[in-house]
Amino acid sequence: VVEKVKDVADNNLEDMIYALEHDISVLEEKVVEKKQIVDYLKIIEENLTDIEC
Amino acid sequence: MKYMTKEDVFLEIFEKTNRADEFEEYLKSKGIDNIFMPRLKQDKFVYDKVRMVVDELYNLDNNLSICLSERDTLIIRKLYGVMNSGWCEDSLNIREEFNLKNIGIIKKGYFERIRGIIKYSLERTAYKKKEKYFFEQCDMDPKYWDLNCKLHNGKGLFSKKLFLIDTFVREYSKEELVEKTSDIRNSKTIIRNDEDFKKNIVRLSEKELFVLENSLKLNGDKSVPFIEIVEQLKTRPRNVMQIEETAILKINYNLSNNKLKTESEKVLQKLDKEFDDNISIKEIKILSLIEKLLEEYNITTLSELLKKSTEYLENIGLTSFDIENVNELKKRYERYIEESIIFELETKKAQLLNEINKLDLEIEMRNERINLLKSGGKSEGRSR
Repeated sequence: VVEKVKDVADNNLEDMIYALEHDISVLEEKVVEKKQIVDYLKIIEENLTDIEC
Repeated sequence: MKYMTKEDVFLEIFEKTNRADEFEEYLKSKGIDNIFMPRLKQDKFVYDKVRMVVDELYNLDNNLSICLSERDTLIIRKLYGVMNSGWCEDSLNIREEFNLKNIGIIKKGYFERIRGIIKYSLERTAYKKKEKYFFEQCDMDPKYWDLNCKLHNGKGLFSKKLFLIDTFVREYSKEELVEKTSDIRNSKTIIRNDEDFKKNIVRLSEKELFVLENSLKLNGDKSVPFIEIVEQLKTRPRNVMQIEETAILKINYNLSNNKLKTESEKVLQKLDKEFDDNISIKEIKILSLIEKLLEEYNITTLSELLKKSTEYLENIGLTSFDIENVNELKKRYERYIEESIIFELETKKAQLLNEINKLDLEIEMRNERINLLKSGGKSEGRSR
């Protein structure tokens, strides 16, 4: 990361912070979405297991 | 009738006024070491001074003798027979003539005043010797003292308390002065002689140099008085003072630049690697010149310093060069903070990506299990 940062010109540091913050918010949304999918799949799996029993 | 020669008078006055121990104590109390006025020299000094006083008393062209009024001069002259070829007038006659109750008081007062004059002259002479010794030791031309006081306004050796060379020399003993002289000799930001001065006035305009040389009397007796400077420049006194301030600032900048440029670069590089909010001002050697000034305003750590605005720093007396350094520190510090933020954000992003990968794996795994359960359920149903 440090090397990456050093490549960036002085004035771009603020832009880089902005871009990273944006990436993080997108990723956080994805995590929430994926957690919901996992929860949904858990329910289906439990239902199917009950039917099988 | 009593008869007294001039020598008799001298001996009496000398005996009544030479208080060697008292004079020595007095000099000590004024911060002057014995070395600058040993006892023998002191005795010789008093001897010469009394000779001068007696000569004055016998100089009949002058109605006023040293430290006496016209009336008292006459009384003392009559008492010592100065005007009557050595034949002293009876004190009772003098009392009647001048309608006085006590002649002794006048004599006593005369001796006391002579002792006062001797004390003062002894102090001045010894002090001048100490001052001369100090300047010789630090290899400094005395005329540059005031300039250095202005250049280092309130800092280090030239603290406001010791602004006058008089106070400075009195404040320290001979040993302490020797210590200070080595500081002055080794300093690269002190102007000691004409050569140093010439090296550091390169940025000055003719007008600035003219004002500086004359207002600080660097031209000795040829220096123009302040009023004439104002007249010659056809301006206001305030403007002359401003010109002088600019000249001082330029010399200061030159001096600081030569000495600190390389040093500051080194420190800044070091700070780049390990930037610490609570680093003390003392550790940042680049700011050593303004360290004491900052302390006066309770600014002891780097973070406290960086929080202050340029205007504030100017108001408390930092020079433009100091402020330039502080601003450079600020820039580097801000960059350091930004880099730290980026590092944190990058770490967080990596953690989120890792979490997403894990969730993807779990989703895939659960999908497979569901498919298995679905296919197993269908085949069982058909067999029934």
